[in-house]
Amino acid sequence: MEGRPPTWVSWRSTDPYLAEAFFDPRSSSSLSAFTRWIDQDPITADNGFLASYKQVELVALGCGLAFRALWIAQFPDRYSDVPAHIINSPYPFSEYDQLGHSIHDLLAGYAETYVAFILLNY
Amino acid sequence: MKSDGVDAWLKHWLKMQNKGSRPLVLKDRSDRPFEAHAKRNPVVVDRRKGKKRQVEYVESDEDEAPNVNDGASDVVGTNASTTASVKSLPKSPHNVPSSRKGRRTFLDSLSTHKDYRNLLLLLAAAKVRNSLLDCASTDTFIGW
Repeated sequence: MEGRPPTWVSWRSTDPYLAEAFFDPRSSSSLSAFTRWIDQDPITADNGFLASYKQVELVALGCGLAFRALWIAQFPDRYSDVPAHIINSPYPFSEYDQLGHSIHDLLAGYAETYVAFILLNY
Repeated sequence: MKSDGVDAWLKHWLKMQNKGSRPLVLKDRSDRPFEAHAKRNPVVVDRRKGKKRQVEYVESDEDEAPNVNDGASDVVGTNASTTASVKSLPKSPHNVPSSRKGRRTFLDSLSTHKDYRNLLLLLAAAKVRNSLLDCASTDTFIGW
């Protein structure tokens, strides 16, 4: 169920900004490629239960980096040395909410699990 | 910011307002005594004879900057209200401590989107699950 994420979804990545490939819709590292990986339910293990901490952490890293990239593309003047490919991002800001919808769908089967943690946190 | 971006951002903001996620809060100016302003905005005194003394007061625009926080300022873990004009360089995953806590702090800084926050809560659940599995695998029974 997990598949392989785009290469930028890695704790070894040294780039402060996501590479040009993320902003190229035709690339295998694009936002849509990442969304396709999310749609494969990478947080569920083959036994049908929640995947390992490491795997869920990796999914969270990918989602977080994608959110941050879309945000920076929209508000580049708040950051230093923003590459041109981010300033000229082809993605409309609606992709930000669209990514939220993908995560929402991903979490649908685990609603009771994280709601329990919300209750524990308040 | 691009014009279509402004529209999209306003729609996003309105959506959050409707959900009550980010309620609009009007600032109470009464907690800012004039003395405090006087220190930040020096009084200019006109010493010319026959002229009425004038006090020029210019409202600081420091508080007028939109306090948007969706990963823009917290990528470096700083307060948005004090660093609105400071440009920051996002942290790369490689520069994050490899400990769970360090990585969790980094993940926390990436976005405040509601669904992303729920994903981080699920990450906490995965941590508990892993701990329970570890306990179960190492559990030994004491014989009588």
